[in-house]
Amino acid sequence: METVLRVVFVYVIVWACFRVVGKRELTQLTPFELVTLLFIPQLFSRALTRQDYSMTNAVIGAATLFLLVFVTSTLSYRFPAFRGVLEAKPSVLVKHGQLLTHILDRERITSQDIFTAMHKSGIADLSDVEWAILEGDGKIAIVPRQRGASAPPG
Amino acid sequence: MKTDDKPPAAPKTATRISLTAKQIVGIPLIAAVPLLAVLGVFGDRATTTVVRSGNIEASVTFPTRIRYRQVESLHVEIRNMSRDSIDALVRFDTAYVTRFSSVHFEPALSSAYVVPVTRLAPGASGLVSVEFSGDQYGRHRGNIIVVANGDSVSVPIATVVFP
Repeated sequence: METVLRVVFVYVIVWACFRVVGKRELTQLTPFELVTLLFIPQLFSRALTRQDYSMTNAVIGAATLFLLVFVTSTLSYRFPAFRGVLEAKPSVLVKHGQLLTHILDRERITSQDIFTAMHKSGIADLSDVEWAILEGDGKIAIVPRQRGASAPPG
Repeated sequence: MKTDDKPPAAPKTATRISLTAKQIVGIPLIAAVPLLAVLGVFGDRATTTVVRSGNIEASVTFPTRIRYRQVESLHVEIRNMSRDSIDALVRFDTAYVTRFSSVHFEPALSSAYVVPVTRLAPGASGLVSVEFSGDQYGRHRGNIIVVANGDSVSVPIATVVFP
């Protein structure tokens, strides 16, 4: 029974930490940040197993984790309000070719991060970007400006 | 809000839960594991059996379920019900003991899996403790036999070791 509770507890703690830290940490990791993330399973593994290395304990832990993933994804799909709590909302980083610096500051996304995403989409000039959006999964999506379209005034 | 202020949002669609045949079978199976664990099905459990014969009473507390490599203990309490002091021998089944590892007897063995409990005063009780670790999966059965002054009691024990 304790294994089930421990897995649920760790699941909630890790989820809460990621929600607090932000979307950027999901994919836009520097090498140092990646090393930090690698510590997480190392730190939690002993707390989860409690020196109980039996197959029974491992199966209970894995089944609990899979069930949590299924239940949260189902609730998230069925109830938009729950999805709002569980998942991060997208943030607009570039609007009509203009960097929204206050959003960049909040999400700790540099202009270089945006240009990297632009280059991956085959765009070199910021003015060719209609929208750059930091999605809930931490990836930057680029919506190019329609050819021939001009920037709206203001 | 104007569409210029925000990128177009995804259209809202009615959502309902739909499971594939594999999920209909698999999800209850996955859910059953933590549910049974919460109900204590996979946890360690112990039981106590008390047997009396003539002038001795033996109370054996042994684990009925343990997990792989989990350290557990078994206790045999012998009570002298006679009016005289007695010496008792507690004999553990070899077939049972050899199924475990890191077996430690307290008091120490006098011979192969026999523990002497000497000079038990009338009404007094003596305790034999065995600590062991489950190394082999499956159900392990055996008997604990207590002999004293011509009386003997046999207590059947069984322990399931989960993988």
